[in-house]
Amino acid sequence: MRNAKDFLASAGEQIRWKRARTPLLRELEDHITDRREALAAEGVEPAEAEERAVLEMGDPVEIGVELDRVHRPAPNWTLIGCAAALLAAGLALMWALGDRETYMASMVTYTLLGAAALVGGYFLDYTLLAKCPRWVLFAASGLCVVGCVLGNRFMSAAAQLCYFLPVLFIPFVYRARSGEKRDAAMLIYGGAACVAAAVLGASWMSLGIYILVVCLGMVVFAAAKGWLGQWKRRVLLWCFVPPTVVFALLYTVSADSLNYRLMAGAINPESDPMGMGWVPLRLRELIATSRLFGQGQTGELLESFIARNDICSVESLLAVASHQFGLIVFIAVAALAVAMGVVIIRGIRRQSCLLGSLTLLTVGLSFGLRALAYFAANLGFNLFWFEGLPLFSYCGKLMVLDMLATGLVLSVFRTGSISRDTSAPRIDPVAG
Amino acid sequence: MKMDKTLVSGSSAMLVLRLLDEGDMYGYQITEQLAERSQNVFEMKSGTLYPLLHTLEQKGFVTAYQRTEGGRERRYYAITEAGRRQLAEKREEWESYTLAVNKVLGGASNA
Repeated sequence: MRNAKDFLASAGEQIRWKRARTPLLRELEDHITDRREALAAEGVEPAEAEERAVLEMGDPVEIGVELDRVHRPAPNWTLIGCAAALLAAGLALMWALGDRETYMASMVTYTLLGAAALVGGYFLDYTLLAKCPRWVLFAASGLCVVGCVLGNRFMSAAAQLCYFLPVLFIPFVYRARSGEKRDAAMLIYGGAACVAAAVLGASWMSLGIYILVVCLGMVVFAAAKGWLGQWKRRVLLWCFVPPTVVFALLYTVSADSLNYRLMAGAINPESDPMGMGWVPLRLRELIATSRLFGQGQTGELLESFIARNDICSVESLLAVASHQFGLIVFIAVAALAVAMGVVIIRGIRRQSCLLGSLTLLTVGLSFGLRALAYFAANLGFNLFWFEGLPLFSYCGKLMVLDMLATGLVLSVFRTGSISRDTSAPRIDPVAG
Repeated sequence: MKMDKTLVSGSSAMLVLRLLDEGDMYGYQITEQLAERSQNVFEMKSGTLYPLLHTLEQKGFVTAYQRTEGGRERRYYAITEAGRRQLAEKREEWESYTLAVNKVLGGASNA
């Protein structure tokens, strides 16, 4: 083996995972180049320097075999198991307790479509997110606003699309690593587009808060990693202050709106026991009269609550299931959600590819926030209403987007060992 | 002096972690440092180094990142907290081992 090209070809033949070849061989090539340059600096002729550098690398077949042994696609079975269990539990409880006629057919349809999206997301190279054009986010935000203008039929779809905006915001945050003023400005515009879509489009207070928390979480992550460089303060200021002022104003202005009354009912349900406080009070009662195993003590009011399919089919399914089958159901579903959260948090810390960490953080924050709100709501503290527990609750088209996001997360774990960031930041990232 | 490969292989991870404990390095830098510090006793081939680094990364003992230096993009490795704990553990094992070997080699005088 006399030259680098033959050496790399020979080593590459041993690596069965095709996607792994390019990043692994690149590292070997860099090593040969470094050695060749060092020898050339000592006065060795270029041709001889390359030959010696290649010889010092060792047997290409041996190194290829070793790299092949280390690098295999690594499905995260814990995450796959938890996601499958949440999906199965949601479908089974819906079948047992929900309004089958209204929801079951579409739930199965969206689950099947979602499964296709999950598989697609899993096998898709998630690093394509870095190349996603910025106009996609602006177009999606625009669609959310247009959906609202067009009326009720489209408003729900617009709100559901809003939940996916943070994923489309990923390229904005990732490209801010350049430290360029233009990228920092685009980061602010992208965040503003997300918040505007939630506020103007969906006009739903909870959704606006969701967008604000997730997008700000992403920006804070970028700032903590040192990606924003000299623009850190300005970006944080522009991302934090205007949306907070907008929400404070909206909350004040809409003091008699449905949003406001729902939140007031959740905070103090006794103040409006037959109105906005009715659902939180019944949910607290449902949980309080549940047993660990088996059916809880069902009173007259609870029976009427359970009979109201429009309420218990989706948003309160977990509370109703806990009352019917025991709190063990609640505990099991919460344990699955927590397990997913733990796997994602560990993944964020262990990913060497910054885009992988950012993708996990985005989906983790998004799912985590919705999970917290869902569990709190099912305990009778429904301060915020997000679109159910991801993967578990029926939430129409959003199920497909949720499963696509899950597929992307699984893709990060699968290809984590070979994913490389596309371009280096000007500022050194914080290691670990 | 060249060492028996089997003697080196068991301690390779410890040596790499020790070097990274002093600062972030890329692959070529690690082999150079190792050779220099051991006065060319340890000449780690890339066939050993890269699979080892990648295994350490998968175990969470090191983390890697890209950095451009002099127009060249390099993949740097940095030790993690878990890696430091692993290094301390391996070091302790190594000291116990060498002590025991020295006692045997030294015969009755060391007993």
